[in-house]
Amino acid sequence: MAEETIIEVNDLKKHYGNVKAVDGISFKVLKGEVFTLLGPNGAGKTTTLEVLEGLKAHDSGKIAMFGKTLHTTVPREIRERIGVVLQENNFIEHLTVTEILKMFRNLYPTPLKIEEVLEIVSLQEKRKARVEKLSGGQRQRLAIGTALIGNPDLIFMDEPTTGLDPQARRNIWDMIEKFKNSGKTIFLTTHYMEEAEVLSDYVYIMDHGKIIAKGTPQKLVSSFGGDKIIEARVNTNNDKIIGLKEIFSDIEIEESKVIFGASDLPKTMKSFLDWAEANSIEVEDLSVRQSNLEDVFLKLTGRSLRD
Amino acid sequence: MKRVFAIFKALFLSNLKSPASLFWTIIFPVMLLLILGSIFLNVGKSVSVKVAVVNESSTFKGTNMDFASHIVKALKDMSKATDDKTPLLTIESGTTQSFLQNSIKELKIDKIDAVLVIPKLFNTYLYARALHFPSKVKNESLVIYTQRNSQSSNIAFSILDSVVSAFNREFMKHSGVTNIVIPETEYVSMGKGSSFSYVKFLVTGIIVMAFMTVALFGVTDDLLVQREKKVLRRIFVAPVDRSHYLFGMTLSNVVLEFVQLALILVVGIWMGAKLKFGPDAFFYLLLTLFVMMPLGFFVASFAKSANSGNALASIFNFLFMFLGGLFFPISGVPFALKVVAYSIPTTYLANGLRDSMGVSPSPTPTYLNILVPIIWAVVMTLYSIRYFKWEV
Repeated sequence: MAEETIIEVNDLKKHYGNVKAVDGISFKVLKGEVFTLLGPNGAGKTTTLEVLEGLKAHDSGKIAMFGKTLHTTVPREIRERIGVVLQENNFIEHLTVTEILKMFRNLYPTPLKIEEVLEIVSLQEKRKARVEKLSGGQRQRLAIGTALIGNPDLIFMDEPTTGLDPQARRNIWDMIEKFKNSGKTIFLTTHYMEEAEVLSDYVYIMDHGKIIAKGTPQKLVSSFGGDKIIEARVNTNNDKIIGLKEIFSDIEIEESKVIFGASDLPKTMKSFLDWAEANSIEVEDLSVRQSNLEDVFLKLTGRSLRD
Repeated sequence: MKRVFAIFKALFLSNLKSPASLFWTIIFPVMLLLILGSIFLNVGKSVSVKVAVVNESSTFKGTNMDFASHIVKALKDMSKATDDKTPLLTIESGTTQSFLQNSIKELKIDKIDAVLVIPKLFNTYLYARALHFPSKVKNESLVIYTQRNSQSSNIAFSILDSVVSAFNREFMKHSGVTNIVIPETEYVSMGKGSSFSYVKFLVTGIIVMAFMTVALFGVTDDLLVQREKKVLRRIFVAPVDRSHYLFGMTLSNVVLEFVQLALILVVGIWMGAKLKFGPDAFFYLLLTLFVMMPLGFFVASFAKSANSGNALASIFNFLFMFLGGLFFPISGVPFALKVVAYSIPTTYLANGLRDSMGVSPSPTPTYLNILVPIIWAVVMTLYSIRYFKWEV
């Protein structure tokens, strides 16, 4: 069976004066996958999402959602099938968790039960708490609850774990996994590479309004950084280390620390140790780790994701 | 409709649960009514009432049997200031028919509060009663003229009535005859109808103020604050159209206004304001409701942020409240302010409402009372449609 396309975007552009927030991007989101836009702040992820959610009109390009072509707005029958977690989630003040969920529930044609949603987002004990009394993590869970209550086919999540502590972040990752397992399609934006790696089926790396790389996390990592990364600390000055650049073209040198990719680990390791021996350099620390999307981004842009 | 109702319920509930909104929209108008109302009632008590006494009695003059003179003296004693306190009443007395005619004329135009008439054969009648000749003597009763629906007139009547009762008690003690003098009450009415009552004036003014406050601050909150806090964004990515939100929000404010209206009327009636409720009164209430709402939309469209919106709403609120003559008549204000007063909608709404509820006849013509507020509403609606931004 051919995979169903939920979103298809072609050459999407959105400019603010001279700022090209989104500059001709194209992608496809398939049913049941976690699709991630990864990129630093200001890359254009949120603008892309806002266009897809109907909050902003795009300047040019073609968008189709659930097989329907969108023009300036997202029609109501499509919004009925979408759940949204915005980057900043505030609610009508003074209402309780249940009252907020009730309001959103009444906006959708085939909603879930409030109890069910409270359980999924683990807010049963906070059902009577006013929204202004919730912690950051609880607020975020309520936001996910409001996105979920309409029983959507597609959920947009704009940096859902930004500003949360590691435990709260884990909780949300678990939830996203569950949504995925229940057949929902998730469109995620994030600037956390771990998040993209753990959750995504497909990652598009975005920078300055453009897509600069795409693929499954594994594919991206292996095609750009090699499978493994070697990090070593040596007791020598820079002049000698520079010589390593002739052997490993992708090497990053930070004072006495060197970082380089190793697509063939034993061979690369041997060449490095041979070089050290030949130059009488003592290797103080040596470690091998899996390369990650951060390495990919660094390699593509020369900058870190959090810059 | 389900969506409009969902938005309405959430916003209305939020309003009811918000201490600030509850205070300003529900408690404050009632408090203001009670405070201003009670200040007036106290003023009414400390300022003395004016009474004209027409002593037509002509028999037994200068003797012990001149009962009429005792009554006049008792009243005159009460009109003397004691212990630096304002006397309860001021007395004008006379004996002639023309004095009586003149006094009744003055009563009609509110210059005095009551007229007491002691009839010609009053002393003779009482003397005959004391001697137990009731059947042979024509009842010569005291007559008190007062104005219906006038607070001060009522106070004057009570004073006169208590003086007569005291006289009855004294007379009974000496003669053993009961129920001698029962004053007859005659009502006169003002040329224009019923007399002016400040409580009624205040209640109608506060209704206009309450509607205005909800429209100004309620709409500013529902549009500007929710926009700034990105609540609107969150709602509009759900299957909600802007019209759903607008209707839900308007409904929430209108219901709040009806709650206010009911509360103000209950307190107002308890304070003694007897208001007329005809179809024209309902018309003006609805007009006020629908004319004030665009004012809120205007503020929300003109102001860039929730803070500046609140400041602008406060300016409108104060200007329209005081210059609209909602609490005090504006007849005494300087010319420049009068120009402003006669260009703002609250002046006309209050005039129309007061006229229709039987408070006081409108100093402005009916067509202006309807037209001026509608012009404001249309202009502000057009401005809002043109300039309101759902997104910032």
